[in-house]
Amino acid sequence: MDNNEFIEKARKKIKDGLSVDDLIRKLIAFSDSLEKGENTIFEQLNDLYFLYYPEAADKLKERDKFIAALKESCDRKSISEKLAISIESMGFDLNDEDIQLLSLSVNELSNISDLRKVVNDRLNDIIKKKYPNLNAVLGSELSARIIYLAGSSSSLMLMPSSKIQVLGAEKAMFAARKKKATPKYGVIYNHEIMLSVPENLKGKMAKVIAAYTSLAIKTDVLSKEDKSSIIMEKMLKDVEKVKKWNLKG
Amino acid sequence: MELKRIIDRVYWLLDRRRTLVTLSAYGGDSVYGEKIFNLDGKIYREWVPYRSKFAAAFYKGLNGVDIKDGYKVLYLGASSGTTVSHVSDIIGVNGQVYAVEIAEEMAVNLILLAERRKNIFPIVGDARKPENYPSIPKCDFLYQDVAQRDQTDIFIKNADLFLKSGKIGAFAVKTRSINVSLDPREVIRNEVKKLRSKFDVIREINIYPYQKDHSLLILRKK
Repeated sequence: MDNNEFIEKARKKIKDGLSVDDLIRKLIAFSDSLEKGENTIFEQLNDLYFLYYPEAADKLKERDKFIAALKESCDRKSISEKLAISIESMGFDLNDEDIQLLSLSVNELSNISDLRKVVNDRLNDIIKKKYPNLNAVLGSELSARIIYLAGSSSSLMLMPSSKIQVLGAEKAMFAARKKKATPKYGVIYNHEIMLSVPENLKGKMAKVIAAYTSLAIKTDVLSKEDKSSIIMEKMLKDVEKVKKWNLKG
Repeated sequence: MELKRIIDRVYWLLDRRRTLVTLSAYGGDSVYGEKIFNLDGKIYREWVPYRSKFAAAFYKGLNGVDIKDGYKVLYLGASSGTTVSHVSDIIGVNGQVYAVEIAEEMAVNLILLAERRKNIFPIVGDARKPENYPSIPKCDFLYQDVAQRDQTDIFIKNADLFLKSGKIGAFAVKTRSINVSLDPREVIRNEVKKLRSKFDVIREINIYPYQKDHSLLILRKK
């Protein structure tokens, strides 16, 4: 007996089972790794630069600032002009070759940073096109992340909103089995509405956002229509309600 | 180096330490990075206990099991085909191993393996629903390694449908998947109780330290 028939069937099943969600999952994992690498390289480079010009390195502790300042040239002369600090330094005097190595590394770091932006832009495009309702409720970055955590859009659709509320807080959820309070929110905590909400209402707001996330993904997967304006209108009303609740209490 | 037979096509390679090997049925390609030995013109593949629970059981004292050339094997939870490749060695080119795997990314590797090893029949599907498999014959050996809470029920269901009576089923129980809080020995005892009505329990092998919280049950269908 030949196994070709089985192979054909299995191959077909795999191909049918793949969807744009898999692309989203891979891209977001890629973007996360890029960011991790970016931070590691930045830390090392900043450390290296600290040896050469500690006065400047001290002022460039943020990654994006560091890249922007050092991208063109990183010798003391041009940097001291850029940051308006004294060219006199207590750092070790590196020779030209070392400085060249430094600037090469900064350029590579900048490339990685650009690549991550490209990946994120592509992710945003996919989310906007495929899940307009979810994108309206959560924003593209959070949408991608929540699909990544759920595994796929259809499994996200099947989740109750209480589960969506704590997606990304699995560790705290397991800790709750051993007599600890259950978490109030997972990745939803990073939603922009949550920034403006006082601490004591964040749990309630997370519930509202989770409920509308559930509604939005159901609309996206099942009816495939863009009803984002209606959903957003309703959601903002509920958000206002919760905020007022604080004033009363 | 010297070979000591355990069952057909499975040997201990006795050197300074013993190494479990299978006689390769399909040439000298390394499937998952295992070592290849060439002795007297025959090719043997190392069977790594840390990668395969079946191999670990041999290291922990399993000295014979009814699986041999030409057998039909149903393998549930094939993953990327690490253990499957050794089972395919054991049953040889005349045997058939039906390998079921649900996770797509793992199944891709399995399919690629099946293209090289013609006695592997890949099935992408859920072991919980054996009625959905493509039509397969009754098998002489059942191996299951799925880390699911209802793994015992899955085993019983599949054995009912596809295992010939009097034949052997090997069942890798992951106690952590069934109940985290209960003592592992207690969990095994409960599972064995469920299996008693349909199977004779021949051996129970705890495969620590190769895998944590795992046991391999060797069962004979009544």
